[in-house]
Amino acid sequence: MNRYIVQKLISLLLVQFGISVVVFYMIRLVPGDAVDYIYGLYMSSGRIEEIRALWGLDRPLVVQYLEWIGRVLQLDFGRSLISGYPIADEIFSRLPVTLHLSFMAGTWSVIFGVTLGVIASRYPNGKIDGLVTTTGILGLAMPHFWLATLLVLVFAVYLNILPSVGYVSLLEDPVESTLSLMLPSLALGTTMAAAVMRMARSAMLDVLAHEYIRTARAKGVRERRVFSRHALRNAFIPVLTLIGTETGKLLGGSLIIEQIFAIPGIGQYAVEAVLSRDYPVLQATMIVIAGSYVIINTLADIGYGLLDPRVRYD
Amino acid sequence: MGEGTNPVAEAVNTADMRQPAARRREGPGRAWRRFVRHRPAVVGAAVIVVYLLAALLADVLAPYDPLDMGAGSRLSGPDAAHWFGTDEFGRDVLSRVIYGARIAFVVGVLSAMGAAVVGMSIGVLGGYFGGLLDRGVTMLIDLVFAFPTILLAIAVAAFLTGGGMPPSVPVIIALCVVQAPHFARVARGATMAIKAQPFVEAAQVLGGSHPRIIRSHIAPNVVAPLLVQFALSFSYAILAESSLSFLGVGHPPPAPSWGAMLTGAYGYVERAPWAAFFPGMAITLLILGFNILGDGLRDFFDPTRR
Repeated sequence: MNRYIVQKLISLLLVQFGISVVVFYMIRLVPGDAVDYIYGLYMSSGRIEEIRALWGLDRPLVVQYLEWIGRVLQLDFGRSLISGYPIADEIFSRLPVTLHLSFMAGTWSVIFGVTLGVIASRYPNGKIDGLVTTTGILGLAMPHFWLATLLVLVFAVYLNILPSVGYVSLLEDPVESTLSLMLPSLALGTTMAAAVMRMARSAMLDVLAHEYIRTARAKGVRERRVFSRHALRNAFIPVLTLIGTETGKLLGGSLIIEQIFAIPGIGQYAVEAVLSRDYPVLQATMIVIAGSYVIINTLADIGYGLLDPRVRYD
Repeated sequence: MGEGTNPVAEAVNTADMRQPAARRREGPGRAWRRFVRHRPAVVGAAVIVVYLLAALLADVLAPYDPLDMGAGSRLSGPDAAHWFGTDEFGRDVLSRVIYGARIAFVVGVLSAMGAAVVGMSIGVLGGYFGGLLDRGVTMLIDLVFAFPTILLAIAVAAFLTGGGMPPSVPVIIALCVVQAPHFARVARGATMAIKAQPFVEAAQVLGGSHPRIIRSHIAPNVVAPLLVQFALSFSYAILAESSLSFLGVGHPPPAPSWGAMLTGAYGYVERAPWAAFFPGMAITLLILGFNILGDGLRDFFDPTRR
């Protein structure tokens, strides 16, 4: 088992390294370079060369990369081109917000997804199952931002019971904070809930077809106990794996959701950086978001290995 | 002795080498009947065909010019003249939704095809030759998978815009980049499975060159599993294009992209919910069609379900 974990951690480091290389060199995809883009219109070419030298853009790429990654490892991401503030400070204040949002969305998804999936598997092909399956397919097809719009329309505009924009910190006021994330987390979590639900349903149906379930029923175990003790435990492994990978995807979805609901998370920071061509901020947010994404996936892999011994020996 | 005159080689050829292909060759009539029996897949395909017709016949079907700001009064609700109402500039929402299908299909087809070609090529090469090349291919796949897709797509699209390209090009390239690894992974797995089959070994023993074996033995057997991926990629591309446009890095206004329409409509959703409802509905229904078709294709190609 230890060997399995070590392997996963090594590959985690390799991927993190790969991410940093991609993010660093991606900036070089820009037609012209960042300095041209920002100052090209109103500065002489002599001044532009000076700025290039100031930022170290005239040195070899490898040297630039090493210097940059050295600073990043010390959590120094430089300053925003637009605001001039240190990027690291922004990221530290924004990352908890995004994690809070993702955590809430993940919680909804697991509660709704697993419950509905298991209920649907109780009466396969019945009315409830049909309703649950249809909702699941629909949930996977709806774009986040459209669902968000509909939720705002119903709960904020027509019913006026939930706020449509803004974020209140959890430390400030836990109740208000939960309310402020209610609509965003529901909009963000729906895709994951639908995926979890489909997986829970099919995993339960797979397990219920096994012989030991028939044996349990034949020896007179109550149906409820068959479900909770015999079936659910075994059906949970694939569902947990899916929960792991889907949790990572919530980070991507938060880019859009934070923008709609004006939530000051890291996703909003990234999108603003894209729109204003704030390259250092974009680099930093990409590193942090992709890094967290990979860490979540690695944890999910390790968890899967702990639960299912067969995986470790692959 | 010329090729094909050796009776032993002929026997091996027909008995072993072509076997999987022969198993699939069941005649178009029977395959069609088997497909039609799968009701949801047919519904999915029908939905897609309706959208495709809307995209192709947009000039005929759309009652107004999608960019015409004088089509009706501003923000008027759905009525007989404007079935889906009008937006904040008085443009006809129905016409814009119909023209939006064009953008969706262009982006969907081109990005899914680009991703399929690139992904299949590197996946097959990695799976067939193995070794260092395969290591490189797997690393590349893992690296792209390390980013949340939408983040990578936004970044690539943003970096490419401003290079004087038409607005669809950066979006298509960005979606190719994030989708190609999916194709590569499927193609690589399928290639490795087929390579282990006796008919490939037979072809190698008979002196078939690598390009020939890949072309006539590997490629035809890799296409079927990729078809499912193609349907999924197509639907993902449409969803992602609308997300990019929604965030402002896809098609800029006034292009009638469904995502961009939703961004515009979100600002006055209280006064004119229809302007946000219909474009979103258009996206959801089309994605639904693709997902159902994708599920159906998976069952259709899955030999265990016959």
